[in-house]
Amino acid sequence: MTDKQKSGARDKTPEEKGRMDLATGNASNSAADDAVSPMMDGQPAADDKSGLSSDLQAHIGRQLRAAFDEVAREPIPDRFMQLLKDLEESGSKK
Amino acid sequence: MNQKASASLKEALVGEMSNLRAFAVSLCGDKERADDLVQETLYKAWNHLDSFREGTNLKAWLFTILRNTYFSERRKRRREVEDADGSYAAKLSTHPEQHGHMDLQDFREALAELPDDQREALILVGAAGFSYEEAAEISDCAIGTIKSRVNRARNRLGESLGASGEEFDQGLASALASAGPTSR
Repeated sequence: MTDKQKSGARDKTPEEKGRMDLATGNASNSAADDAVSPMMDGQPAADDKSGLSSDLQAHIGRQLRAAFDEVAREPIPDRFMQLLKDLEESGSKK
Repeated sequence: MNQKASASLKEALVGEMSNLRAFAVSLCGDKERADDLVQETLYKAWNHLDSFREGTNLKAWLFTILRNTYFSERRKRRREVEDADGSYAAKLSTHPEQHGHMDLQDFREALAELPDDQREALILVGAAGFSYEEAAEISDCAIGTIKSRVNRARNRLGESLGASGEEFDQGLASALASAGPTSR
């Protein structure tokens, strides 16, 4: 939502990156992330705040996307197409 | 708005609608309410188009309208009903219908139990495809705040999902087998 987004080239990268980070825990460069460096050997880290095994993190990432994508794949309900049609026709405030 | 502009706006809105619905459902956990949120968002977007800057991110703008609508409603509701979280979770669990996979249903319930701000951050970054920076703009907070919300959400989900022990390991094994070793 800033000027830099006017260069459309930027769009794809953060999307890929955002998803990747969440699934693998390989997020970079912040104090918060330093606290959750993933266990690359997949060992659960018990009560350590850094917490989750990479398997578990990946599992969460997949479930999250599965839940989201399941809805996103549904056809758009008629009411919304009708609403847009009405808005377009009236072209006015409601 | 002239005809051409309105046609192209309509097209753009249709293009974002699936993601917007998915965000609404993930955020509030209730399809009917989610669709009301989407409807309100579409109205607002159409009628406040002048506040959208051409060339900026329409998807982020729509998500911002939707989450602001959701949170302001939620604040109102919370004043009326004390246990908003409890009723939310209860409502969710009475709707197992169309979510075939039991695994996924468990996950939805765990997601629903997260604090609102953590759930939002996790969905924006982990499912809707926004960068931390974009998520921070949408949620009107600092990037560090988004990161820490995502981390806390992830840890909490890990605790509730990991708690089922062996059952989870089996589910995980089959999930890994079918989904492949890496994220997309």
